Amino acid sequence: MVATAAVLLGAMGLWWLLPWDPVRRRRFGWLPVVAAIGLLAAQLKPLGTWLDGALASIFSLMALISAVAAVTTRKPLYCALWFGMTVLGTAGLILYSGAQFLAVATVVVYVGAILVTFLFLLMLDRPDGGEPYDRTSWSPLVSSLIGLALVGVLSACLARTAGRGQVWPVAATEMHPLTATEMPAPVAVGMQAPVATGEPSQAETGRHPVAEAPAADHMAETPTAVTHTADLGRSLYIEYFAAVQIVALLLLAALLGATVIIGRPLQPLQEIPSPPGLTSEPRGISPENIAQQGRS
Amino acid sequence: MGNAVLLHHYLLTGAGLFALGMIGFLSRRNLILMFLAVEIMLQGVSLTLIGWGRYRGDVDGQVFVLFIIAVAAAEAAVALALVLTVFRSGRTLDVAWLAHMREDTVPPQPLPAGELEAAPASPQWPRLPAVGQRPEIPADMTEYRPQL
Repeated sequence: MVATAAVLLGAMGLWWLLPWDPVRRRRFGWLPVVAAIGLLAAQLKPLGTWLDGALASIFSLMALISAVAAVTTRKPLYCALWFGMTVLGTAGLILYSGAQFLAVATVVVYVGAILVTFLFLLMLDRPDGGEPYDRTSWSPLVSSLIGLALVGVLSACLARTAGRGQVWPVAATEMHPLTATEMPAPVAVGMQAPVATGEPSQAETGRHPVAEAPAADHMAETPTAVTHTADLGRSLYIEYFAAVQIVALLLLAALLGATVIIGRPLQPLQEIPSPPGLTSEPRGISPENIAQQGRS
Repeated sequence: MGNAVLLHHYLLTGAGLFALGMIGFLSRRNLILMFLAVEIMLQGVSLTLIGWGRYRGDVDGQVFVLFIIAVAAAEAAVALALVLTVFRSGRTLDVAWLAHMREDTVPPQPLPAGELEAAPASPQWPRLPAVGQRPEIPADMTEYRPQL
């Protein structure tokens, strides 16, 4: 019931936010969207202490709201910037789950490389949203209904599974949840000791029993030691070594492909008859188009 | 079971990001905005994998997310090169225009009725006259104000 209301509210708000009629106050669509996010978030159980819940909720809200803004804004420049905010929220959630390396890699790759390339490309066109195709959408009501229906089905499944009191079976039987007591592999602990304590002087003063005891306690109560960067690297370069090589080949192929695509001499398109009813004419191809742009 | 609650949180956020990216991909007409919507969908998938990896207590989810990042970088490089080529040849990023690209020997396909609605033009607001015109200085003024 709550999920249905959230789906309808969210679809309505997104439909109102999407650009399809320029003379309209689009910002009123934020009210149903925020209400839908709140209704969906109300299904969650509280997460540990209030600080835990506040941190995770802030990152989730940041990702979701900036994703809504990125999808629905009229200006492509702001779309790219809001996408950067989405990536920052996602990176915060990844960091919250204990994956430090991935959080940093996400920020560096997405915001540092991909987003800058997008911004560079956006500067070619009109980044202020003056184009006619930025002011319209393909069937905004149907697409927002479909998307929110997906969210509703998924959240209903999650609520059923969680409400039955039945935890997902993978943790109950073979896998262990991430706790400090069940942390296996003394090899891993031994390898992480200089990393986690952060000082090589700990190893030198290791003979001193007083100095060694706090270090051991610190290691024992670090709950995220399993997802540490060292374990990620070990898993990456032992179990997934072939996949890493394939990904390296993929990146090389993408680099070569982009170079080949860009480096070819350009053959301009000629005489594409634009279909009737399509008002966004391509600009600057033929003198007729230029004259028509000047008239309109 | 705090971990199940955390997993629930991550799965819900990931589903929301995926659905928002899908809405953007389905409804927007700008080519670059569609690629950004795809990247938002990839973010949702990454969050789901991270949540499951945290729940299971191993690093497999993180490895998958690392591969997703690598594939996204490769995809962005090739896709943006293609977008740049399309833009240089057509001076537009409209997918409705690109949908009617054809070869020379193929006759233009007739449009099904109602597929393309006319894009609303930019509203024309009344404009004030431009300010900041360069002032015309009379020649005799420069005699007693030589800094002009």
